[in-house]
Amino acid sequence: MTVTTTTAKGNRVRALVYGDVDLNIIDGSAIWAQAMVQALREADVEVTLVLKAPVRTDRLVAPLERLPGVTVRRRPEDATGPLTVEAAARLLTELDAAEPYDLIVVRGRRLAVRVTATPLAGRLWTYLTDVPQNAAEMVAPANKGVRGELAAVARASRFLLCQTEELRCFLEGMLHKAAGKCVLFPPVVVLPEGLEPTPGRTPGRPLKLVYTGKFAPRWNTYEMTALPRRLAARGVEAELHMVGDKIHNDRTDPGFSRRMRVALESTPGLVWHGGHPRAEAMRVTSTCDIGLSWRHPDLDASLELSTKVLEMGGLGVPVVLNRTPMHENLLGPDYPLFAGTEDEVVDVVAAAAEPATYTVARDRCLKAAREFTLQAAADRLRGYLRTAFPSAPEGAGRTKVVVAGHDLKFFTRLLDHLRSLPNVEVRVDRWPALGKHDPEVGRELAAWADVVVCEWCGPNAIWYSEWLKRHGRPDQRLIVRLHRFELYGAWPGRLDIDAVDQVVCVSPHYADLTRKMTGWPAGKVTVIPNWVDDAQFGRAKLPGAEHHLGLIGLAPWRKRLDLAVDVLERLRRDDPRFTLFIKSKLPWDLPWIWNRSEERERFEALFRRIRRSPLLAPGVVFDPAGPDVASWLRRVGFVLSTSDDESFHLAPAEGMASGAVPALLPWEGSDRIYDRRWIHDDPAAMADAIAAVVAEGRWEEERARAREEVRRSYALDLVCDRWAELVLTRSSDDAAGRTPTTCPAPTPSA
Amino acid sequence: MADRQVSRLKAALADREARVRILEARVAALEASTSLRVGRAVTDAARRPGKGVVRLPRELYRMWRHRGTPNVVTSVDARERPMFSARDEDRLIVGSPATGLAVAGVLGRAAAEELGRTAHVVPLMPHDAALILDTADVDLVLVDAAAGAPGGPWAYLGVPGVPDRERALLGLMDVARSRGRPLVLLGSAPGLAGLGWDATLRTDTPLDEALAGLHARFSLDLG
Repeated sequence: MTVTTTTAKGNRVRALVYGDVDLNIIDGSAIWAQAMVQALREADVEVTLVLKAPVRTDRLVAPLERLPGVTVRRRPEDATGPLTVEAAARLLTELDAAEPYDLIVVRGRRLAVRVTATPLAGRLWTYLTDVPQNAAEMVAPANKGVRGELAAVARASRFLLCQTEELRCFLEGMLHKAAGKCVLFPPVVVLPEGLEPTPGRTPGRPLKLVYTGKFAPRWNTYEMTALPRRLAARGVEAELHMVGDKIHNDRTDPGFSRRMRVALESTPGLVWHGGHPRAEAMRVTSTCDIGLSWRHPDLDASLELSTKVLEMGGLGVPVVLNRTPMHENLLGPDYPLFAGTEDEVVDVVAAAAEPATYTVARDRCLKAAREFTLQAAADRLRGYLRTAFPSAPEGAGRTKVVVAGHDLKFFTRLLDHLRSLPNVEVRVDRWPALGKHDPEVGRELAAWADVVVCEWCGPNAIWYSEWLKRHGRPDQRLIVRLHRFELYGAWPGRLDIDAVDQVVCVSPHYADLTRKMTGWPAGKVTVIPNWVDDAQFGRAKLPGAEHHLGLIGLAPWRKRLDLAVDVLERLRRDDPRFTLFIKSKLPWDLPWIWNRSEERERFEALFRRIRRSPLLAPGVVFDPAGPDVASWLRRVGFVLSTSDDESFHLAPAEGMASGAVPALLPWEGSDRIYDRRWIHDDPAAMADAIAAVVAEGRWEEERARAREEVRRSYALDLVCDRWAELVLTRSSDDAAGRTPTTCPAPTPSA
Repeated sequence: MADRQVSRLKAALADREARVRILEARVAALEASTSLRVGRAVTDAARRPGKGVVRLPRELYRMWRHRGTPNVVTSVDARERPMFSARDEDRLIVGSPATGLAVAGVLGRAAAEELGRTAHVVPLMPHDAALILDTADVDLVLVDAAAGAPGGPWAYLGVPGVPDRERALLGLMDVARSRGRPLVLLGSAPGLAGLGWDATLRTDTPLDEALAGLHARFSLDLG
């Protein structure tokens, strides 16, 4: 059963879509606009599509206009041309002002940049395609200012819709503002009616090759014309069908256009179909055996995926294409039709003339294309809609919430969630430092709030508990979230627990410790674990990640990088492929650590040890700290937790969500957060276990188990729901009774 | 002659400016330190016995309250920090016992082994490449596309969508270019083409022969 996502007011979600594309020209971007509208509609969203250009042919527009819940705003008949960026931004803003939309989908960098400075900011779901494709391009003088523009777009967007995982990771790595906002929206393959692939198809004789699209040097279209001749020399009778009429005039190769045309017109075994609409081009493709998407290696670094490859795959026509990491991820590293040179193309096509190879290639392409259906796109959008417009717990009334604290980094997504809930108004009392705040603001907010959530049990909790005790209303509630360091400070001792309704700890061990050290009533201390955005972290691993260990955060010393290095040293004695990647600030970048002589001495000795060891020096990589952890974890096969002490340690959970296998040393309480199968007695045991998992080929199985475990226990939506329930529940007694351990810790294994 | 004079003066100016920036940062850090501020408050109070002395306890109390808060001049990640760019001549006095060709390399295992037989190899890691190149006296920089294979420190170099490795590479290329060292690519990978290499070598090129060719092509002076 499909559940409709509704807005805070309980209405159906309304979307305004502008593609900055001309729907008279049926190309990839027009198909994208059509698919976006259809997918939103499938996800039960009310859609208004704004057209850029006056309608000259309604082949794409008319079917959309017939969809219930879809409104198409055409350009006036007498409009002289397409909307400019400026005019489009103005029109979108006006439409929104007249009747506000819940989300605004825009495509195209220039438009996205323009609307960042409008009231639409914050509700933008931006689809970026025309962005630099690598770091060198991003910082090139020709693209001066682009990075700043994109950062502004990221800031103003609710989501950045990325066509591929590669684009998402690139944006997150280059623009830290984009981290956490990038979600996938891959191309959508919609096959014209009647072109469904026939099962069990085998290659015909002659073997029909097909290319559709523009003719350009880097698309290797001229080289393709030699294939019938070269295949004939190999004893394979073949025809080449080419569809398209745009022959590129290349400045660096002035003779290309003439050469290409002559080849199209006179090559034996080549059938030139000329230009055709997309549906007809797909019909021609469906009558052929093998598609060609073999390109110049310059294009191998593209962050975009060819929609044509997917369309051919959807038609059951296997495709010859370059071996790139993206294509390997799509079709598998052993896909039989990867080719880089003309000779290789001839080889793989000749091999595919055999039914066995052909069937493998065809099945892979069909399977890959199934991930790009309209239904898959709608499912993705449903997930994003649930995140953007969550539903409130049953029976929750209108609630005013204040969140107070000096450092909200462990509360960000919970805050987002509370803010998105219907009938919940959230205000933040941001303390500039642990013990520093504006009492005037605090008093005003405390008087306004129904519920106060103090992130950290520090001076903020003391201040609010005292204020509420003296001036608070009986219906006001105070919730305090206690992590680790506060427990060893003086603040819990000064907190008037009678004024507090609930103390939330992130792990059962720390909840017990809190009860023991403070003597607070057991029912007042509850557990809601830390959250992991499992959807954000769940990404395809990069090949070879099983030899890569990851550590997130190396300071202070109690994180025990030295023990992680012990693990690595033992592993590298047998297999130098094991490498430790550390994503962290360096200790000397944290003055509060580097100024402590005992910390400094220990780190200095450790860094000397690493530097002077031929085994370790090439095996430890210090990667910069940053919010791009999810993309960084794609390279990590095992995530380590070697600390002396942690309250929760999010890193293993994030690693598990990313599909890495966690490996922990037994810090106190670890077995009440993570399953015992991941906890090892000492570094040697940890190293041996890691080596065994890899050597015995169990890595895939173990990581799947780990991912399932973290999703079951610490998934973001699960933890958000628990917080919403706690914050919006009127009776604290109910809450305490209901949530002794709100999220169950994994059952310890034998 | 005049050109050389101008470039020497430019280098000296850049040198001075870099030093001034560092000194400014240090002064700012020092000025933000509690000890200096306490000292200043006390001397100010001594200089103005009336108002100053009255104000002193309050000033000292405020400083005491803010003790331990981070300095306004915060440290940035070392790997993102702009390098202190020494003049090329300064490196002449750096001890370097290597003889023959010195090659700084982003290298896969096979290339490192092969290269080690004919040249002095300075291995580069993603986190230290720019730093090492800034100080070491090498003749050329070789980037082996095979270093991007998994199971090594440069894993995924050249793989689209892994920008941290690419940024580390661009950083070291910047330093190599600023020092006039030839940049040579061995083999190919999707994200490495088009970065402006001075020379490219095919994967199967015997490196001893290739080095001889590069030596001649770039007129490398081995002393």
